[in-house]
Order: sequence, then structure tokens, then C-alpha cells
Amino acid sequence: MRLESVEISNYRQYKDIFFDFCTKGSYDVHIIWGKNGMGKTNLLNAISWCLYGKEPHLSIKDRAKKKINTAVLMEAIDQKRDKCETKVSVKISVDNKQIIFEKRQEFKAVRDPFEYKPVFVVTVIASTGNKVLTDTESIENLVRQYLPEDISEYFFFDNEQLDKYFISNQGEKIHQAIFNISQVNLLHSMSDRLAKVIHDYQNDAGSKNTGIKELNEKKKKAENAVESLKDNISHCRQQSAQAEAEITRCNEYLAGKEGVPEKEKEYQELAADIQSKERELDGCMDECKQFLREYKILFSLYPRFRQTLELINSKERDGQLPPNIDPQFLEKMLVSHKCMICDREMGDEEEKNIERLLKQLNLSSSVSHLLVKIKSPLEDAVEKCKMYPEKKRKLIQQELRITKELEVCREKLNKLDVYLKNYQDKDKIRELHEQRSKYTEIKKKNDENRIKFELQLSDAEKNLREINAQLQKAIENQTELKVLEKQIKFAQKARTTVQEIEEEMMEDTKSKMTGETMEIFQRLDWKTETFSHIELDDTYELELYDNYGYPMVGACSAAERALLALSFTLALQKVSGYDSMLFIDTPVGRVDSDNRLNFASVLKEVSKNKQVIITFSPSEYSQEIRDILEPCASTYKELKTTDESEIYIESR
Amino acid sequence: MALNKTILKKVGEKTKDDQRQQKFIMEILDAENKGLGQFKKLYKNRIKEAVGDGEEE
Repeated sequence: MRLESVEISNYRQYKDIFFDFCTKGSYDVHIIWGKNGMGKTNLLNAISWCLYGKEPHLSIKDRAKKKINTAVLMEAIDQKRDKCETKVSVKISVDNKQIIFEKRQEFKAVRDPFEYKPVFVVTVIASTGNKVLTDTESIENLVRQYLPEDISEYFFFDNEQLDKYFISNQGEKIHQAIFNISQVNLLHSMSDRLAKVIHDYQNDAGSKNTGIKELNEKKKKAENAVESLKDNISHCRQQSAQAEAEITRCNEYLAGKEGVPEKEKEYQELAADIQSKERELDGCMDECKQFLREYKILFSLYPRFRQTLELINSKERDGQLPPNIDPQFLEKMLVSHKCMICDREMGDEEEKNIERLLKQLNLSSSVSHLLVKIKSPLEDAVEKCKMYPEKKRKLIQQELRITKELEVCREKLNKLDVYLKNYQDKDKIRELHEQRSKYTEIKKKNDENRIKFELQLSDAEKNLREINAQLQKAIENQTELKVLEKQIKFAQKARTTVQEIEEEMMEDTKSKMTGETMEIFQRLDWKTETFSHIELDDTYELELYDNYGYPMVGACSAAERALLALSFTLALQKVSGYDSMLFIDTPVGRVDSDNRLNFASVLKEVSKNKQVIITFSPSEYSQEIRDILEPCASTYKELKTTDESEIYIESR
Repeated sequence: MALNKTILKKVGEKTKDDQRQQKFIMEILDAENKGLGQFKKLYKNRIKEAVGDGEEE
């Protein structure tokens, strides 16, 4: 990957400037020379802002300022323009194509300018055609693919970073750098994502736990129920058909003999009725006899009853008989002073009348009392004698009715007897009648049961159909389950492979990194005999050991730490095979002349296979460096200004 | 950027007896390198393609 060009408009101290990094010869090294404030570091910031929207290398004085070039902003204000614009365009070549990342941002033309949202557009120029990307996701993917931000400090770095590289707690950062640059992050991401996919498959498999065995048992039960109901229906039909055949047989025999059993029954009922009426007639005759005996006595005494009654009535009329009142009753009324009939208090007058009555009763003779006593029974006997004709008439009518009914019954009985005597097979007729009734009942019961079973069968068949559908689904699920199991197995195998490669890569990279870093560092540093080796511990903290086995990073000079960081970066790029350019901003500020020579030599060597862009301030760009780098440099640019308002490039 | 050749070499070595695994891992790594949004769909589709309808390997 190469940085082909950077075009900047109205960004910080740049108005319009174009950096072209074309290659010439066998060394892809590019030198940018400029005094302090000419914008060497801001070139790095412009690239970072374009790609990542960040300016990590800003100086303290620049942090307070807006990106828009101050002269351009003032000019816009003076000309009363509404807006002015900053633009950075970075062109790279990679994988046989060119990609232009272009970021624009507008600013309101006022003294404290309002920043509008930046617009990021990427153009991909390939032999297959050009493509313009404007959506954030595609652009971010492209940036992540070729110039990932999280490892950007390994291809865009400045002197400040070099110094801080290994000071403290950089293990995780180094780990991430190795992880990302060697693309182990891809393996790690794939492993994580496979785990998630496997988890999904396992969840799916759990939900497809089919329960085919239970459904088969249910199906068997449902089938048995259906079969049993079908058997029952068949049995009912059979029974019904048999009963029907029997009924037909009975009907055939009984044709024309339909009334016989009924007549027989009628005959028996009539015979029983006659017996009952005969008993009733006997009772009636007994009653008549009793009647005659009673009235014979009454009629013989009747004249004497009448005479005695007339005598009593005559004596009563003459007042010779006491009133028919109980003396004890009257005495009770006197004691209670209360009328026992109307239940009210009696006055003196009433009590005197009662006393007079009691006196009369006491004076009457016992004969008189007897006469009074028999009067009522005599009246009853006389009255009864008068009832004789009516009673006699009723008894005669009763006897006549029973006799007549008996005659009717006997006549019917005789007729039935005559009718039934015509049928010699009365028993068989009766038996067939009974059989027909029995079979009719059997047929009816079987028909009812059949209808009931048919309804149950309909439900059972529906149930069976539903179970079959569930079973079918379960079988399909089982098929899917088998596929899922294969997918899980496949994904697990892939994950294991990826994890193994990840572990091996990290170990290999770590091992190669320490050797390579040490080799480059020894080429860079003039102290060829002081340091023995480099180690990366489990937490990826880098340590440099001296020949006595003592850790040395803390004791290194700032220049040595910068050289160590550069060694590490170059080693990382070499070991990982990561194909990117190397942009180093003012790298040798703290490095002395011997190390500068080494530094220039190493970078020259590196530039055979990798594009190297280095910025130098006049004090850094010593004769030693110039002698090594300038003859092989593809481009040499000096950043200059005439009136301090505009920077321009002077190329050599 | 292009996929790390060492990784590709290791994938090749470890899956030399299983071409379906090799193809799957290579394709996914390539897709991961280019950047993925909804990864599950791609992973599942590739696994489905590799495993087929569940026929025996």
C-alpha cells in the first residue's frame, strides 16, 4: 500500500497544497523538509482528520484553533461570504486500485466560526470501473480494511509517540497492535462469532426437541381408539342387522296373526275382571241380607216407637217433662258467672233464670228424665224406617249393575274363547311376538349406540389427524435437528481450527517480534555491545535486557526509546506482513549523530520494500542523513513561505 | 489490506483434509477482513452451504 498524494485546501496553515509521493528508482523514500511551524506535523493531522475525523498530533497552540485556515476565514468575512470550506483529499494505491478519501467541512464565515457537519466521500478507481461511496458504513469498512485507526500509530507516528512508546503499561496496546496488524483479530472475531452462531444453533435445536416417541405413543392410542370405535360400530351394525333379520322372520310368521297375543291378554284380563265382579256381587248379596234382617226388626217395633214418641211429644207440649239440659252445665255457669255458650259475663237476672231452671230440673221425676233421654233414639229409628224404600232401591240397582256387567264380560270372554280356539300355535305366536319386541329393542339400542360411536369416531379420527400432523412436523423438525447437529459440529470444528491458528499466530508473532525488534534495534543503536535481547512477557510488556540480564527500558535515553519504538514498529510490520506505508514525523530530534546515521541507513533499507515518508526540521536533517537519504529519495520537498500567510512546496 | 499470508498458510495446513472447512474459513476471514455488519446471516449461509441438507460427509 502506498500513499500516492495528499491535497489540502484551507486546512490550518495550508491554503492550497498538493503533496505528490510518486516513486523513482528502487527506494521509495520521501523527504519533507520544513522549519518549525511550516506544517509538517499538521500534514499528519490533515491525513488523520480526513481518515478518522481526529487530529491526534496537534500542538497545544493549534488545539484552540479551528481547522479552517485563518486567512481564508478572514477573507470570507471581508468578502461577506456566508461560508468557507476546508478540504483534505488522501489518495492511496492498494490491491491494484486507487482509493481517494476526501473530507470536506464548511464553516460559517464569522470570527468564531460555526462548524458544519463534515462530508466524507470515497472514490475507488479500479480497472473494473469507478465507484463512489457516500454511506458511512461502507466508508468506515473501507478505512478499517486498509488503514485501521486502532493501529494507525504504527504507520503514522511522530517523535512524541516514539518517546512514550515503552514507558509504562503499554502491554495491552502492544498486544492489540500485534493482534490487529497480524490480523489475529480476524481470527478472534471469527471465533467469537462462531461461538454466537453455535449458541443460536443450540437454541434452535433445543426448540426442536421433537418428542416423537411421545407422539408415537399418542398416535398408537388414538389409532387404537379409532379401531375400537370402528369395531363397535361394526358390531352394532351386525347386531342391528341380525335383529332386523329376526324381526323380519317374526313379521313373516306373524303376518295375519297380529292380534292374537293382544286377544290372549285381553282374555286373561277379562277372566280376572269376571272373578272380581263375582266377588263384588257376592258382597252385594250379603249386604242385602243384612238389610232385610235389620228392617224386619225395625218394622216389627215401629208401631211402639211411634206411640212412645207421640206420648213424649204430648208430655212435652204439656210441660210435664223437664227441658233437655244438663244440670251440671248450669251449675258451672253459676259458679263462673259466665255464659258458657256466648262467653260473656252474666247479670243478676240471667243468674236468677238459671237458678230457677235448676230448681225445675231437680223437681222432675226419673221417668220424666228417661222419656227425655229415649226421645232422640226413637226419632232416629222412625226416620230410618222411612229410609227403607230408598235403601232398598239402591241395593237392587247395585245388584242389577253388577249382574249386567258380569253378563257383558262373560259374553266377551266367550267370544274371545271362540276366536282364540282358531289358533292352535298361540304359544309360538306369543313367543315370536316377544322375540320381535326383544329384537326391535335390540335393533333400537344398537342403532343408538352406532350413532353414538360414529360421533365418537369422528372426534377420534380428527384427533388422529391432528396427532399425525404433529408427528409429521416433529419428523420434519427431527430432520432439521439432524441438519442443525451437523451445522453445530461443522461450526465447532471450524472454531477449534481458528482458535488453534490464533494461539499459534500470537505465539509465533511474539517470538519473531522479539528477535526482529532486537535485530533492527542493534542496527539502529550505536551501543552494539550493551544490550543482549528483548522479551515480551505474558502481558506483552516489552523489556530490553543488557548483557548482565538487567532490564534496561527504564534506563534508556529518550533517543534509545525512540529507536526501540521504531525498531518495534518496523519489526511488527515485517513480521505481520502488513503492507502499509510508514510516515514518520521528525523522528530524530533526540537522536545523536551516530544513531542518526544508523537510523537513516535502516530506513533506506526499509524503503526498498515499503514506502517511507519522513519529515525533518532543519536541525534534524544533518549532513549524515542527507548523505544517506537524499541520493536515493524518490521525492524531496521543502515547505516554504514568502509572507508567512501561505505555505508552498519547493521540490527537488 | 490483503489477508495475512501466514494465517492463510496455517488455515491451508490445518484443513488440508477437509476442503469444506478450508473454503468456509477462508471465505469468512475474507469477509471479516472486508468488514461485516450483520455477521450471523453470512456465517449461517456459509455453514449451510458447507454442510448442505445434512447428508453424510
